[in-house]
Amino acid sequence: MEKFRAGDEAALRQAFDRYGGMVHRVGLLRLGNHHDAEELVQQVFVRAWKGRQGFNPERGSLGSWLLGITRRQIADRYAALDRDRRVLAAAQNTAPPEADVKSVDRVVDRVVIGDELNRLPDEQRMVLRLAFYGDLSHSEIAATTGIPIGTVKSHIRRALIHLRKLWEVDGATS
Amino acid sequence: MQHPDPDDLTLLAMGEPIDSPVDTSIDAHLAECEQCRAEVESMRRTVELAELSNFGEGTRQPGEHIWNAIAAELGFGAGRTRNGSAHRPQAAAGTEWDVDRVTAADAPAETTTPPSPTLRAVSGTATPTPAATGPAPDAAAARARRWPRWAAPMAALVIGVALGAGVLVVAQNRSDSVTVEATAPLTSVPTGPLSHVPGQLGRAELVVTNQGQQVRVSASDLPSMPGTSYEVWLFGDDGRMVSLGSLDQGQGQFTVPDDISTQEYRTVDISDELPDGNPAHSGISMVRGSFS
Ligand SMILES: [Zn+2]
Repeated sequence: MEKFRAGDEAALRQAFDRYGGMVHRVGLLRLGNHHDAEELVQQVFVRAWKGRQGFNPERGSLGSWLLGITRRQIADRYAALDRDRRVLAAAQNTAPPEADVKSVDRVVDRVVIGDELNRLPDEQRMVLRLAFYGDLSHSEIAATTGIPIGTVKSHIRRALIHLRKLWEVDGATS
Repeated sequence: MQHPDPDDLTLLAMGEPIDSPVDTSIDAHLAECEQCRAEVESMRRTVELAELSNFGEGTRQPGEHIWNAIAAELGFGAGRTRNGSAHRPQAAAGTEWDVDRVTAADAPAETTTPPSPTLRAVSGTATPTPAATGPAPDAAAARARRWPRWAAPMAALVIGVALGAGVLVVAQNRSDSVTVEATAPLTSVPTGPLSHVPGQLGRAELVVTNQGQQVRVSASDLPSMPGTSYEVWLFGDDGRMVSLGSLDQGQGQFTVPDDISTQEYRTVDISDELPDGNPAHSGISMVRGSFS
C-alpha cells in the first residue's frame, strides 16, 4: 500500500494490470468506442499517479478509488460534451439532449460486479451462470449439477451477498 | 417476529416462484416487515446488476501501448517498465493493496519470441497447429491458473500478434500440403453475450490437407474464464448443426466428418458450453462466421 503512495512505479503497473480492464470496460460502455475507452484508461491512471497522496487505504480499496477517478473523468467528458451540445443546439435553435451522467454509476457497478463474478469460487460461479444464462431455477440447477439443493441455495445467497457488498461500499464512498 | 429463511428471500429476489404455502406466508411477512423488504430489494438490485454484467465478458486488458503511453506521460523509464520485468520481484511479492494474484509480470513474453528452428514460415497457407504457437498446453494451463483471469485473453492477444507477424506451419513433414479453400471471419452473435463487442474476434479456415478436409479455428480473443468450454460447430443450410470439438486456448483444428458436405455446412459457430453434460448446443453463441 505504501509503495503506491511512496511512488513505486511497479505499484502503478500492478494497479493497471488489475484494474485497467475494468476501467476500460466502463469506458467502452459509457463512451461507446474503443479509442475513447483507451484514452480514458490513460487519463485515469495518470491522474491516479499524480494524485496518489490522496489515496487512503482506510477509506476503501484501491479499486473503488480508481473507479471514483473514472467516474469523475467520465462526468468531465459529459460536461464538455454537454457544452458542445448546448452550443450546437443553440446554433440549431433546438433543445439540447440531456446528458446521461447518472447512469455512469450503474455502469460502474455492473462492471465491478462482472469482474467480481469471475473471481467467485468455481461452484458459486457455475451456479450463478446456470441461473442467469441458463435461466434455470435452483431445483433445476441442483438436478443438472448434482449439487444438493440446500447447497445451491446457499451458493446463490453467498455469491449475491458478496456481490452486493461491492456496490454498497462502492456506492457509499462515492 | 420470525423472519423467513434468508435463502428463500434471495430466491424471491432472483425472480423465482417459491412453492405456494411458503410463498404466501413470505408475502404476508413482507407486507409487514420493512427489514425483509429492504433485504429483498437490495438483493434484487444486485441480481439486476449481475445479469447486466454479462459476467464481465468482453472485458479486455487495455493494450501494452496504453501502459507505454502512461509510462511516457509520467516519465517512467520506458524500457524497463515493459511487462514490468524490472519490477518483477516486488510484483510477485505484492499481495498488499488488493492485487491478490500474480501480475502480468508473469505473462508469457516468450510467446512473442521467434519460432524455434523446427518451424518455417510459409506465406498465407494455413494457421499453425496450436503446438506451434503457444506454450505447451500443460504448461500454459498451469500458468493460466496463476494468472489473473484477464491475463489469459491478454496472452492470447500476444499470441494473436505473433500469428499476424508470420504464418507458420510445422515443417516436420515436407509432403504436407495444405490448401486454404475458404475463410470465415468470426464476429460476435447479436443475441449472444459478446453482442456489444465490435469487430472480428477470430477466424476459421476451411483447409484441405492430405488427411482430408479440416476446419482450423483461431479465436484467442474470446474471454478466458475457468469452467468455460468453447465448442466449435458447423451449421448447415437446413438449420442442422454438427459439433466439431472444443477449442484449446482459443485454437483448434478439426477434421470435417465424412458425411458432412462443406457445400451445405458453411457457417462456423462457437458456443459457450455449460458443464452440464448436455451434448446439445447450449444456445449461447459467442461468435459466428460463414465461409466464403
Ligand atoms: Zn422480516
